[in-house]
Amino acid sequence: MQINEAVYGASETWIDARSYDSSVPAANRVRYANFGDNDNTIRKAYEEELLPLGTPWDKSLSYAALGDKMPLSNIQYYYSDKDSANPLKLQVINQDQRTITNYSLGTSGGFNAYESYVDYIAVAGEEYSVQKSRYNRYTNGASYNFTYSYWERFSPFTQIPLKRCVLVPYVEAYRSDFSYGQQFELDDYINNQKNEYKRITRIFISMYADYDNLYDPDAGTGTVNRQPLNYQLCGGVILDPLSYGNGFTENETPLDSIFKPIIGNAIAGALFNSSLPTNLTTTTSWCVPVCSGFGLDFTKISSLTQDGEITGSSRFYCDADELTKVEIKEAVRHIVAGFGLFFTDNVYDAQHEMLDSDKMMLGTLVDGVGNGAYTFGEANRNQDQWNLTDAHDIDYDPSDPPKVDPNTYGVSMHTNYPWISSPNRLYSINATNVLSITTLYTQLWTCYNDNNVGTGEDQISPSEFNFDEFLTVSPIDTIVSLKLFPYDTSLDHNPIGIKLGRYQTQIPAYNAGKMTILEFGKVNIFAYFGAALEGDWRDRETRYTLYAPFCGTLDLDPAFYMGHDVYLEYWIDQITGACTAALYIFDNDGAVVYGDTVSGVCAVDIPLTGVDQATIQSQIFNANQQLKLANINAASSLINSTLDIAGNAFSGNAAGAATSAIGGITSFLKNNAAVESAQYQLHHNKMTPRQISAASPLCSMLGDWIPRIIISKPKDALSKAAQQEFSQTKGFACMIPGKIGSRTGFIQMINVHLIPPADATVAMTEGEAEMIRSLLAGGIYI
Amino acid sequence: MALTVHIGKTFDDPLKLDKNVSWIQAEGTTKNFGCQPTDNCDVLSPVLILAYNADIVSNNYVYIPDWHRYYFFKNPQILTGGRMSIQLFVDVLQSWSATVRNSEGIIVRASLDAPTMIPDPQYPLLTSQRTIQNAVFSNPHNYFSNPSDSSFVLTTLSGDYTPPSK
Repeated sequence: MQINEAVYGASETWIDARSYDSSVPAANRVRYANFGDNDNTIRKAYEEELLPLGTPWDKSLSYAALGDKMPLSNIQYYYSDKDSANPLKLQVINQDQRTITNYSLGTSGGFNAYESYVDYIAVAGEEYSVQKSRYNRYTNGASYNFTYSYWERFSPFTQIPLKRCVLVPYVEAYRSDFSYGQQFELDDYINNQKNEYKRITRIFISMYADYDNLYDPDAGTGTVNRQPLNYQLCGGVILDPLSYGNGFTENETPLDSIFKPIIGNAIAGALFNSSLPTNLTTTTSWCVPVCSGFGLDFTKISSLTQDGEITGSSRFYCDADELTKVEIKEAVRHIVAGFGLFFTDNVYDAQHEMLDSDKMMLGTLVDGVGNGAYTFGEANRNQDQWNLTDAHDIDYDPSDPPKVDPNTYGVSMHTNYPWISSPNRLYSINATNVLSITTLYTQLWTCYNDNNVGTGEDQISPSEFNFDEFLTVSPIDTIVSLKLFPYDTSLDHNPIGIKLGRYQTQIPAYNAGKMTILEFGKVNIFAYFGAALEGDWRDRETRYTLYAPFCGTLDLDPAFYMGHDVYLEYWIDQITGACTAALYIFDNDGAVVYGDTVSGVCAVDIPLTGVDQATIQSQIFNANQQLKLANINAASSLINSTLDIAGNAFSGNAAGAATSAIGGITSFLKNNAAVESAQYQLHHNKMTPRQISAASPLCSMLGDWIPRIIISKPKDALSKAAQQEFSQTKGFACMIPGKIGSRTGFIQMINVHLIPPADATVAMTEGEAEMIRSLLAGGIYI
Repeated sequence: MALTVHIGKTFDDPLKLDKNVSWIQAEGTTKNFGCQPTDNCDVLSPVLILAYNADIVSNNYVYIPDWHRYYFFKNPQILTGGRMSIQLFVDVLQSWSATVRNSEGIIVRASLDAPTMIPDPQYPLLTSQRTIQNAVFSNPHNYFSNPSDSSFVLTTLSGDYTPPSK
């Protein structure tokens, strides 16, 4: 938007912001407004009533706007009230959060960043307090001493030649004890000062302008020689209404909402002076605006008393110790980038680097709004600013700001590794140690007796075969599953021994993770018929199908993937064997977007059997016990019978003795049979195996194991030559607004607006007009 | 009422906006033919009567300067008395070509270098005849490609820590 010259002076009268070599054209100079008498200060504007007190400034100064993430769009007001019970404590009373902020850049002649926030004027015995750096005009008739109002020396830029000036950010930082502070170029602070000056209080900008006319940015030739403006630091004015005014007198309500622009040098941090006044006994209420953004949060207050009250050295700051060098550097760059101008990290580069050098950055604007993004190097040439002369040529109108999209874009989707703890342990066994499987089987089939099955040191010895080691009697109870995966599941190839329960075997295996993500690379979805960017409807007739081994097939949307590289990942759960094939692309903001997923199972269960030790041990034990009992019974019955026989014999009962003898023999035989039965039981125990997992069907294992994109393209009936002939005689379908005379060949047009030439002297009839429209609707040749 | 007309021939398509016309010449300039329109003559489709001239029969185009319009021939007829009649129909494209060139609208078909995103039912794209291909993904380490890379995963109960993933 062009500057309102009725307010800010005729452009030919604008005032240079520094001395220039005479060879520099007027359009290439940074210039101030001229409010009359070659005075570029706000003070003059007030005197001439060009910027009347208490009314918003003309916003044509705002060549662009700051977006909602910029610090100047996010202001917190810290307030202290002398009349309150805690006059020396601060509280946040409000905050301004704007979607866009209109602003003016400029410089303040003689503005002292360290002067105290509040000052006084004495008028005829009365005392009034005035806040500096504020729009405050004492209006009750007393004379106003302008020397106290340094801020009124602010001079707004009305001309900013985009390719003839470069910003440099400065970091104001203090030592941890706030004993000393200084302003540093960004690079110097990051590389040399951060460790000593850990308390960042404000961010400033300085501007360097092409002093002579020796550099041609478009051609990229010549000598670059930029010099600072007449005042080192640039400041700014927020042109939008603020929640709280600035400057109070005894007659003025502290929390009024009259529009008053903020003027200050800082673009982040406490907007005027980082030090806070403590002489509040003679001061009325006041308010400090503090703005933060991009991780630089200036809401800490230093040097507080034990009661939390501010002192003479209190300042708003953010702690550099909590941020890395990269974080601070990027935050400052984003803050400066919001102004949509060229900038560097240090003065030397600002003075000597060409505009398309890798050390030169350019804030990007979207519909005239800066959100902190920037380009550097050759990419600067692709920005709109490269093809404009002045900042006010940017297509932005403060009175008709663009609709701001409140959404956040460009955040990548990503996979997660949930931190799941469980008593499961996973081992990977592959071709090099596959014999471990058979060894494991052998171990599981070991019986708990003296006749150990198998040989070798891998045997679990009977003494180790106990509940304490396995947490169970059967080693097979410690096995959850054995699955076969179609890839190498090992995390590394450092062999470790398999642990069953608490028993550490020497059976070698590798570590395996609970889940894994496999990357398969990319396929380019190629616009076969036309160019992907311009688009060709024939490409939409192409079908794309993902073949994902173990998961199946998935039809893909050509419109979503066309012109992109499509990447494939497999997310695999190595405990259950479940897998998901996921496709992703990089969207227009460069963020990862997962477009499609399809799930399946990529592992096959291997049934595992082993001796159910608990059962067989109990069987063996019982059989042994029975044998012992049977033996005892057999021996006892014989003894009984013998005694009986003897007793009967003594009493002369020969028949009784014989009966007893027969009974004893029978009993003996019966018991002996029991013995034999028990022995039979012992030696003929039924094997009680236990099986872990049934064999699972996995027909997809029989299919192809290589993931693919299957492409089905329609056939074009026309050769390239025939397509050109078709185009000339029938044309291609399109929907283009246009003028007939600008085209050649065949053209078919609807909604025709007939426009006679300016020199026409003969008019057509209505019937002829209809004939023309009808012919155009059917198509004509030009 | 007498009219003077120019008679010529064009081989261009009637739908062409600006046609190339070869006018019958006389003495180095375009020949004027005198003629008489019939009574109740429609300016857009007049019938003209003029002296028979064999050259006229091999032509197909007329310009009437007084009416600022161009016409196609329709139905030339030989009359008695050494006369002939020609029925004409206005060529609006040629007559008003400057207006047509200056006019604007929505172009729905045009001679372009390539088809656009707009579907074209007139274009002979054989959607039922297809070329089938398959593309493999680019990672040279295709995890599923080599069966010898297959491995077992044994899951046990042990309480030891297992890393979540690779």
